[in-house]
Amino acid sequence: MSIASMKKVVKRYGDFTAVDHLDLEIKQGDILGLLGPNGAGKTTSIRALSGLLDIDHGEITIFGKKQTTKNLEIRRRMGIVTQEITVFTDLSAEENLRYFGQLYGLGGNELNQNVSRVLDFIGLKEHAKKKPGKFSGGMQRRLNIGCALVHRPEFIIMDEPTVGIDPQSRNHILESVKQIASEGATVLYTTHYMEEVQAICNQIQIMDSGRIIAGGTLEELVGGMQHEDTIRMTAATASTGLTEEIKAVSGVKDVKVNGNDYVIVSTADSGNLNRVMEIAMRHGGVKSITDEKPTLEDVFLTLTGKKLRDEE
Amino acid sequence: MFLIMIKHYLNRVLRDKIMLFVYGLLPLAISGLNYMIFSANTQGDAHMLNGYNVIASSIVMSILILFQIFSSSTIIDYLHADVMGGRRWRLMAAPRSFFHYIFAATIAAVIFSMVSGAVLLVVSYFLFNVYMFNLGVVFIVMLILSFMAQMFGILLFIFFKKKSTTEAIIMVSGFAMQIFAGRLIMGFSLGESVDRFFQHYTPYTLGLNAIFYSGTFAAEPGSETFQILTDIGLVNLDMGRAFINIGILVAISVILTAAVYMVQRRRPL
Repeated sequence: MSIASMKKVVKRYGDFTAVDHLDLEIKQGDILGLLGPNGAGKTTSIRALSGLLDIDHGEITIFGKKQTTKNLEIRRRMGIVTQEITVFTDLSAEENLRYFGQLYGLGGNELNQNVSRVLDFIGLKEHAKKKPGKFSGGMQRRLNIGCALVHRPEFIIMDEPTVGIDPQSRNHILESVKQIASEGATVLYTTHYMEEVQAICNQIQIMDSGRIIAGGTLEELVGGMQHEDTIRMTAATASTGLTEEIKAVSGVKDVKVNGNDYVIVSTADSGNLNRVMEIAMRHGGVKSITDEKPTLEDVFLTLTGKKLRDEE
Repeated sequence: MFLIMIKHYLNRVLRDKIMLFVYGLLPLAISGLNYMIFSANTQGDAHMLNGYNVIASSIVMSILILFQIFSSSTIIDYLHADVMGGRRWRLMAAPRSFFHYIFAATIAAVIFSMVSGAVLLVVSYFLFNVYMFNLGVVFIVMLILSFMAQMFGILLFIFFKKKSTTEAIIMVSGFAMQIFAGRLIMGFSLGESVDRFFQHYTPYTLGLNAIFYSGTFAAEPGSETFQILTDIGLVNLDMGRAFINIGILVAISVILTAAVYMVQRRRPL
């Protein structure tokens, strides 16, 4: 069942088209990873989906209802985790959760129970009375997420929720996202970290220049890609004969030799690993050999021509 | 829900040590300092009338009005924190109208400003024997001026979208109104008609004079006390003129509110 869909959505800022006839569908229970280089239109799409921006063309439907900037009922059922930490530093962790809960109409026992549950969930129960100004970056991020969960949303949008945090907090957040989804919520997750998408998302959409350019499961994306196979081998002894024989194998496009290290590029699905190993065994043996499969990073690079994350 | 939002904004300002210092202690400190300077230049008990200190009364009311005008820095702080950064999107994503936040923040800023004004009045009453004039008028003037200041602050923020610029304009305009009214630098003059305008028709002097018109200091004409009263602009009871001044302040507030509404539609926050 579809929870949210965007059909031919266009959003322009003057002459610049941030979102260009975007089609996107999110099904109930999905953790959908939205990937795209900087400026791809991810944040604009998310804001449009959240009803924070008027769109110029197309239609957005959430929970079967048309999303607009005035539809407060849809917002009540959604949770938003922004890229920036938006908690109030003058209020304690608990007060932050209470206020956000109240903004979504919670009160009384329901509010108390939800605040307590979320404090537990984000691992900040012992720090409930402390102000987030004194928290580490990871704790602030977790509180930021907690504020979006306190009203038990059915559809949660997380816009790069793990930027700039330690590995322990990142793992905690990733596990939390999986748990939220296992409890029935639907999650739209954007990130610059490919490994996060691989770890938690069951659906991936790749976006560039305001459009979705590829989508599917991780296996579908990687499997559907026309890619070269790369074999990395360290031979026991390198020789011209070995190099020439490998070059002569059907499908081999390129062989690079550096000392005893070989990088052999073949056409996709050539299945040359065994053949190369046989040849190497005849020329003195193999110390190590690996067949590199394309990764999501390769898929992304091939499709967009850009790295997802700037070099750090 | 609206009350919860107001409480939230009040909570934030009451936990801001800088704001508490600026609006809690600073007016008292400035009033005290001014009082000491002016008292040093007066002889005997000439500045005391009916048990009240006329110099302190004038100074405290002047500072009270000035800080109501400056109080727009509260709303500017809120806007800067909630509207300019990522929190804007987070708050807008909640099922509340954007205007609810602005209204709640405005009301909280007005309450904070009035409470800080009340603290100044109470403390100065006990410390400096300040005359309270007509307390009803004092509070109405505080309320209108504080609301007007918030509207002015929002209007400036819509135009400049920058906290430091907006605050600087408010500070300069506040002090300019005080200086040109001749209440900070004695004898300062820009010519009779300009002086007259600044002594009667700026928000600062409209508010201050409304308070002065609402009380009575009946000193004997020709006495030294009468001269002091005349010098510092304390006038005898004239509630009609007090209400005219209040009416003008209300009119200015309504115009500013309408301006905020219209400008916000064309140039959203």
